[in-house]
Amino acid sequence: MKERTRSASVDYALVLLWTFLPVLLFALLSFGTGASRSASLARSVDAAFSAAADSRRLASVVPSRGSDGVKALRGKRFSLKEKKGLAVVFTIETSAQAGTYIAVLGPGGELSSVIALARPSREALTIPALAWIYAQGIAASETKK
Amino acid sequence: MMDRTPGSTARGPYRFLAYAGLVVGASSRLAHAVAVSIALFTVFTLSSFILGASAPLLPRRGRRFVTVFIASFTASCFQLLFSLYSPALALDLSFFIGLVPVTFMASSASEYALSPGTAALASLREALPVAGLISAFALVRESFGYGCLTFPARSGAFVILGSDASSSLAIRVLVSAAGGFMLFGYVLAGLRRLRSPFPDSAEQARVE
Repeated sequence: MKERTRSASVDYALVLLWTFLPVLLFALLSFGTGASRSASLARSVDAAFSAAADSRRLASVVPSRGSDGVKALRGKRFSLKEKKGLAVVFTIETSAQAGTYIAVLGPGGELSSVIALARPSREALTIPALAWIYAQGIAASETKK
Repeated sequence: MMDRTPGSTARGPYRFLAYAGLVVGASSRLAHAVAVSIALFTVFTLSSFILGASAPLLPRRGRRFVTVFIASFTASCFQLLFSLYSPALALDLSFFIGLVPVTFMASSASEYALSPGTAALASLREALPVAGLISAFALVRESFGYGCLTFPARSGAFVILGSDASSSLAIRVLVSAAGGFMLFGYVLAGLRRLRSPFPDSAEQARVE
């Protein structure tokens, strides 16, 4: 009986160990690669932006060019408990990327998520990058106000 | 515990139903399918290897609970490393990479109690047909649904085949979730038809 109790305790200890060990390792790995991931995202956004600039599509999706490609582009600040951020809703109509998207920007300006309400085209894979650019632009313009 | 429902055993005809969500969700584009296939190989192999190598240190009770954490850990590490290579694609695929540990738990790969190398190989054999199925679905769905084929790249995806004309002729419903399930249903029905070409006449003969 005593032996059984002891092995059960060891089992509980092992379960706890195997529960916390992966979480701890992942936290360390996540913390260690944070800067590299940010740099990689920045490079990826730059590459997507450059690729779009090389094609005619940029003229139809970037509002600063004076095109009517982006039908609606607005930012809405939100506050959820302690977290504050910015949700950007935008609709692209005339491009091959036609669809409605919501980009959620975290309090530090990082892109939390992109929700595509409609993603009909093959170029939609670059949408997170474009959404990030839009969200940053709106955040910057709101800061100036 | 393995599912003992008739027809849904690890070797039964419906064993791939455990992967239905992943197959339908991640097969809308070839770029997604390739990335998820790599995730499947990585998570299945590494998780089985860790489980095999640490078998003496695993608890006798609560082993499945621990397996969830190990599979989730390998999937999270893959997501982290993949986001270093292609952040845009990693953002797009975060949900499907999160589904990989779920499918690992649903598969018989998490049941192995073998040596690390053997467990990893057996697990790889389990993941291989699923990855093939996802890629085959993606080849059909993307080429007919978007009129192009994509491959993972640093900036998201690289279009290897496609044109504006083929894009305008594409059958969009195929790339939607509904289209994926339709295709999945047709494939299952086709497999059943192949296994028993004339089920009605056989049933009738049996009744008579």
